[in-house]
Amino acid sequence: GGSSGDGGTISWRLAETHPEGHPTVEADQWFADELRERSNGRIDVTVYTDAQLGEERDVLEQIQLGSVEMTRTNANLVAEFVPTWEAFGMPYIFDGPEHFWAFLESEEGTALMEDLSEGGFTGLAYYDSGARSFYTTEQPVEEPSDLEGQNIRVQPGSLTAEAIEAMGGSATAMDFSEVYSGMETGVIDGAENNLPSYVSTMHYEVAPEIALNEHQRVPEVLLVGESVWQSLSEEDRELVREVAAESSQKQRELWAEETERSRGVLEENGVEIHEVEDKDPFREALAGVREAHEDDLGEALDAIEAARP
Amino acid sequence: MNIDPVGAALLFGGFAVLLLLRVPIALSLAMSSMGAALWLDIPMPVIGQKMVQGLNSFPLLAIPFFILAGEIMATGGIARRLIDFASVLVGWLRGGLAMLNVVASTFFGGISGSAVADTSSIGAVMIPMMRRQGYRPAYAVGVTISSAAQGVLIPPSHNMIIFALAAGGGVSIGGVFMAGLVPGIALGLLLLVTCYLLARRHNHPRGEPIPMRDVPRVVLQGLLGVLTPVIVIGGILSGVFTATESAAIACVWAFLITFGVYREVPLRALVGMLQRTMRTLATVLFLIAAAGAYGYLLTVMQLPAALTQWLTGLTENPILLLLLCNLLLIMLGAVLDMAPLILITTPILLPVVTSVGMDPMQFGVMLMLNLAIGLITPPVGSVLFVGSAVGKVRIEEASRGVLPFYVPLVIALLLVTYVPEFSLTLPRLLGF
Amino acid sequence: MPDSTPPVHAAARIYRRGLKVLDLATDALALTGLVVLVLVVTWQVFSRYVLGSTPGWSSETALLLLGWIAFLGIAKGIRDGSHIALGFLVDRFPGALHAVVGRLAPALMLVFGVYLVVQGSEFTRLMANSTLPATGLPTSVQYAVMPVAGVLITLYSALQLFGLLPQAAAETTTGDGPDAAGSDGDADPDGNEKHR
Ligand code: NA
Ligand code: NA
Repeated sequence: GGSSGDGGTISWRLAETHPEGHPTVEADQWFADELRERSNGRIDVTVYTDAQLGEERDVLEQIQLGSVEMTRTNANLVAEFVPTWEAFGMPYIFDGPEHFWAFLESEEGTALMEDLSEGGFTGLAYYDSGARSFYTTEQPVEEPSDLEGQNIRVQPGSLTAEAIEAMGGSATAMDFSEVYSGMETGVIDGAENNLPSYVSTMHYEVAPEIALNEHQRVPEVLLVGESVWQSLSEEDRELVREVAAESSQKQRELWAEETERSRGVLEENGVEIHEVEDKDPFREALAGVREAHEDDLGEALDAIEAARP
Repeated sequence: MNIDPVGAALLFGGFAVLLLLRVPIALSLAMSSMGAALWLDIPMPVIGQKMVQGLNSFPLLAIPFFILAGEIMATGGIARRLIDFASVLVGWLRGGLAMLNVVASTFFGGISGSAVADTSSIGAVMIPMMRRQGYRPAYAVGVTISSAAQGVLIPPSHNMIIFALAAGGGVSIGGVFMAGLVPGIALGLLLLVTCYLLARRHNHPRGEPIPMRDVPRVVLQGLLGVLTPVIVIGGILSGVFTATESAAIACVWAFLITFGVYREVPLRALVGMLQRTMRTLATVLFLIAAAGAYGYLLTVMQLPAALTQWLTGLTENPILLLLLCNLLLIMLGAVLDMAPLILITTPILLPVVTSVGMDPMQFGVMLMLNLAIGLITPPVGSVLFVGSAVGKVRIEEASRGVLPFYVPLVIALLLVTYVPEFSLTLPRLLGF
Repeated sequence: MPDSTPPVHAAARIYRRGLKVLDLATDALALTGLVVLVLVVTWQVFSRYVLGSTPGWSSETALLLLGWIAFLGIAKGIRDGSHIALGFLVDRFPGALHAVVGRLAPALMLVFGVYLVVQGSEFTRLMANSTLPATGLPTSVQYAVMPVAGVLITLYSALQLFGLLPQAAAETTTGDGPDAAGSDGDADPDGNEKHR
């Protein structure tokens, strides 16, 4: 293992938590294959899927340590290492995918990528993970008041918890492994995630009421350890950046296909998707949450506002 | 796949050598991992990081609770009342005390999930009783320890939690619990039949029936203990709490009936209970932590995939392949303990058995039963050792006492291995 | 009679006292942790029903406690001789070899302890710059258990290696727990020694 500098082969481990067949994993694999080919076999990236090397947070620690060279991770987790990334956890900061990508590709988006060096990481490319929406066992969340009396599972420490409480619901931190049975038995009334995950976790079986309120768009990022990056030659850096950028395009296409496919699976299984045309009631209900974070996240949130196409 | 031979030798060989030189199992895992990491030029702090991360898993929280609940029950008077309760059911039959031993373990196993706790608590009461009635000591120990094997199958069982963890999160703990219930009860029935047949053949004494006027009191008091698994399973199924939380509730329940209702031990006895829980817990958690580091190096060197490939390449016949897995597990189980074996073999064997279509939950039950058999099999078997210590017989004698019980154990194992419905019907019905 | 005790004995007494204090401190920390662990998870269930929501901190706190209990338990396990090992081969070794091999386990445990202190504190420092998601505590809190338990492990195993601490028989017993219910002396698995 490990990487070595001039001339010799460079071997990197790319840690991934998704399973094989997942669009993001296919993009990782595409990145690895393409890089191997274009470097004439000199840069050899092995993708470890299914959290074999650890969960995302664990892997980020290992990147700081140097036992893993690369990973694909979620912005929410990056935020625990690089505080400026916390802004992505705020609900309804993006109007839609165009606004989302316009920001990421803007100067501010690039600057945010550079902030990664605070955690000892070098960011290579943003990946898509769609929009997160609420799904519940009985009452779909088509407007904020639908959350009243509902107990929704959230990721620990996320701003989603504050958002749910602000809309009159209850947020429950629960380990992911217990969410399916939790909804089945009624310990909780629902959870939130993107469409492909809603399908792959089979949560639709026990919580068939999904309303596409799309409260969050959280980017994912392909990153490498900073010291590993420094050990690369200038040409190699150029090459890796180039392939990573192309893999991002590839990943976005694959993600879009997967989202369509997921809709199909839901239809086949008789799950009715409730479209939410007007998201303003949600935005209004959450104005207070945004204000409460003006001090710590204001600057980043303003930049996101300004990037609206 | 190119395997680093030196790294693999350090990891496997180093572990085996240290193990045989009486280095604690967990320490052997940690040291061989360090050796391999040094060789592979992997930053050393990752061993410690992986040990800490190995423990950073929510389902693991249930383990201290179930061990503590078992401890409170074993020494706080619940175990004794369960024996009285079982005595009402089967105590008056020919060979009644042997059967009573089995039934008491069915109940106790349903609570603590620990075969050692079962052997030392139920055995401490039952073996002397059986000896007084004229049973051969070896037989008394044999029936005690083979019936203790039920404990790892009947939910809740902390070993099943370790399995679900080792399986990498794709297996529901509630599901594995339910998968073990029918095989566990069936094993109990098979053991009862064996006791009955042996009782006829060797003319074992009849038990003394509990006087009629005592029956209501004995049943009522026993029920409080028997209710524990009902609360645990009922609570999970009705959505009051999650599988992990249920363990804490079992603890609180055991605490309340022991110190609030029975009140035969003073509250300060709790300190001793916590001490002994801590002692067991420390060994289990050290193993899990060290296995976290060991598993990481296995993964980095891509060894599980290579081993799995090799195993599946041996034969394409699923019947043979599963037989092979069973033989391997029984052999390993004869020398190694449950928790480390679950942690080491799951990542290697699970892909093998799923490749021939076995459900992970079914594999969990198969693994448990194999390793439970290992616990009572020489040369190394913790339950065998504890049983012979409690029964004051030599280990060789105790092993002879177990011999007839291999028949029901193997029948149960074959049923679990080759009849998927045996384990899976219940969890499927419940939607897992 | 303060001056009548020879200085060696006085030293031995101070040593024994010091050891006792250390044992008590380790025990107190670990056992309190265990009780708090039960309370935290019970609170989690309770608060969901009574307060209608589960606090984010509860499971993260419980997991932190579990890690601390485990590593303190490793140290405590050296003292109690509860770490399981296979003795069946070594027991057949001739006396002198048996004694030498007997030193291997404490020697390796010492290496492990020193590793935890040195590498563990380095890693703990590295983790000071990130936070845990729910409690917002620095990640170091999770890893500081390595150097802390490392000091105890180093101390206990060094004393054991140099014969200053009785090496409690850690025998061929189980992760299932030799003492899972061993309140009565009969259940002591060490009793097997007699049978071998
Ligand atoms: Na029994
Ligand atoms: Na064995």
